[in-house]
Amino acid sequence: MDKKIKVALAGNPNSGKTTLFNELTGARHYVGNWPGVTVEKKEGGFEHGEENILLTDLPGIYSISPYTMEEIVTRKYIIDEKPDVILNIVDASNLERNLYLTIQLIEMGRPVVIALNMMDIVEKKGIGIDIEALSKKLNSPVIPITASKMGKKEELLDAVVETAKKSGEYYPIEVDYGKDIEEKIVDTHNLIDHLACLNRFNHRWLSLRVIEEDLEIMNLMGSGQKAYLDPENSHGERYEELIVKKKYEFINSLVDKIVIDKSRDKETVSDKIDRIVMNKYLGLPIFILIMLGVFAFTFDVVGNKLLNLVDVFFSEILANAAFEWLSGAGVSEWLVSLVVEGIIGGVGGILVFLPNIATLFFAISILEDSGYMARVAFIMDRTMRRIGLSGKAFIPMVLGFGCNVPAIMSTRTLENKQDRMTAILINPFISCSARLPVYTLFAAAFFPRNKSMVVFSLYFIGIAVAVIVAFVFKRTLFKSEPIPLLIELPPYRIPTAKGIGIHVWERVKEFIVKAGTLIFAASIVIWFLLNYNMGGPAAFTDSFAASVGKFMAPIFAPLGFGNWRASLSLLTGVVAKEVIVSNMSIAYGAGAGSGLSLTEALSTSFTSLSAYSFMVYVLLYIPCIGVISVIKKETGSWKWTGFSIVYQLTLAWVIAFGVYQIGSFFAG
Amino acid sequence: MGQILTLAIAIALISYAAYVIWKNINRVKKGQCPGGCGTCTKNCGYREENSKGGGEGDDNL
Repeated sequence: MDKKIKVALAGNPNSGKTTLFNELTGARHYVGNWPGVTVEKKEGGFEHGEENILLTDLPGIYSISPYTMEEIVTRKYIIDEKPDVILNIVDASNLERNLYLTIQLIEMGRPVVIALNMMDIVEKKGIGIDIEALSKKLNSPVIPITASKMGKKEELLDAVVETAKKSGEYYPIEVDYGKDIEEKIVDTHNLIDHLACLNRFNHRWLSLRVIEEDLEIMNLMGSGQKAYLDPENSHGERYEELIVKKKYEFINSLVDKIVIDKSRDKETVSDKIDRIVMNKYLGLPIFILIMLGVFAFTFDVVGNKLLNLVDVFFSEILANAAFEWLSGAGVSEWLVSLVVEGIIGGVGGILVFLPNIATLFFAISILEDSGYMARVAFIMDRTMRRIGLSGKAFIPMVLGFGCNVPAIMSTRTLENKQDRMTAILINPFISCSARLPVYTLFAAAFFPRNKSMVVFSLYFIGIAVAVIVAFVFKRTLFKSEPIPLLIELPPYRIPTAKGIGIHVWERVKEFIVKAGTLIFAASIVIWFLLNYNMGGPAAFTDSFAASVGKFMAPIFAPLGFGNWRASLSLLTGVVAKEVIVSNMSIAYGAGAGSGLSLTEALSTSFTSLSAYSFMVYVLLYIPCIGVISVIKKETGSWKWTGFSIVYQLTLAWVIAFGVYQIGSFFAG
Repeated sequence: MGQILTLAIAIALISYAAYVIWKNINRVKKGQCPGGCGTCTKNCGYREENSKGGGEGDDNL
């Protein structure tokens, strides 16, 4: 129990690493049925029998050439941390491609245990795999598993512990690269053998990397050694390409020997679905229809019934109970007002939207876990490439529907700097879940019959503006050729209740925690600002907050909402978008025992058109302070952060102005 | 009794609000979203100690 066994979990993107990590450590990290969920490494400790195991989940990679951030993180960890065992998770339904990484990991010289995942899919396809033969050929234990229904956890961990204990006896298999390259390996080895700085590497692997012109390794060598290196053989063939070719020859011959495929040429269910949903012409309309269905389900079918129940609880039951208890205990009138109108009004005004958020993310989780969202990335690739952006940039956009902070962080998966800058700067246009309460409130108040269509239109405008801005940026500020999207399309799976439960719970928890902390505190501050001025207690219209709101209001008058309460809420929305609703709830004196609903109160200062213009402005104007901060962190530049704030404020104003003025023209 | 209760509740609420604001300012400084649930850090596996962000400028891109 004194020494921890260090285990590195490595594998291709979407091979089930994070699911296996969660199963083994008991953690609940976000799992998506699409590649690129893990960008940085994660750690989790647990006990197995007498042993303490420290498991590190590394980002999903296809190879360990240091081209992408994920490859660099993985390789650096294996070289510097020297894990006792590499637990390589291999997608059995896609053996050839997955084994390429396995061979590279084995060549690095650390003991490898192979978890052969997705065996259920393989078996359903009628494919048999000779596990014993595979284990023998790779000189590594191979344990067949199904990560989402972990039945062989003990067997897998036994193999890990046993391999760690015998790590001194481990010898990696050697792929035969043919006479030409084998001679080159020996020559290179002799050339670099004496370099102390390279001693931490496995020598055969190191020689191969040098022959493949690995820049990171080459930089550790002196110019004298580099001069001896020749990237081509006597026939003008590049060694790098020959090595890749030989590796695949080895893998293909291995797969031929161990796989018994009884289903060759048989069209799977996934293939049949893909023929329709990924059709060149039908793909996009089907996606739009599905999203329309998601919004109708969220706002028309489930969400609103639950919303009314939660609303009654806060604005009537809890507010009245608090009022009676505090008044009865002789608490001062101002404090009763702070608690009932400020806190219960502000926090309750937000929590009523919890059912909508839970329902929306329930539906989106089903799409993600089923494997459909990976198809959407592929469908969107055509459109994205037309605007000059890599299709890979669509994945951060989808994550942005949840929260723009992790979405902007996930742009790290984009190799190209120009693509990454564009993806960071357009991401705030993607409607995060914090903006949903604003849309839900206004859509219910002004468009009761078309709620779902109105909310859908806002999401659509967000995507459209993001795409148009990306088009402009890629032709002006960030010119570069788009990199083709290489994305693995996972087979469709029936989402598990546990997986969906985790996704929905993450969102619900985020929302509740935010309401109980930030919105709670913001409600207190807003209540004071709305009830006091320099002279002491004051009416709302003479308060500090009203002065600020009135100062800003003329800016928004041409957009249709030049009233101080709306202007003030936009300012407070910079803290977090939900605060717009809490602020309005307090400033309009609605809910919380007042007998006046916020929807009724809003109709006194908004029309349907100005309400829509307001929602468009909320969609497009600057994101919350957390997103601004992450833009600074990820771009590393105040210049680009400032640019992002200024251009979003301008664009939001111009578009909302267009919506209101054109709408007014048609409305007469 | 009413005055003591008023004072106690007011101090508790204002202290809590001040604590939340201070904590969130620190979170934002680190490039995390306000709220403090940590969901955003889990979603992309981002961990502060592994982050290459924080003023490394273009190296991070």
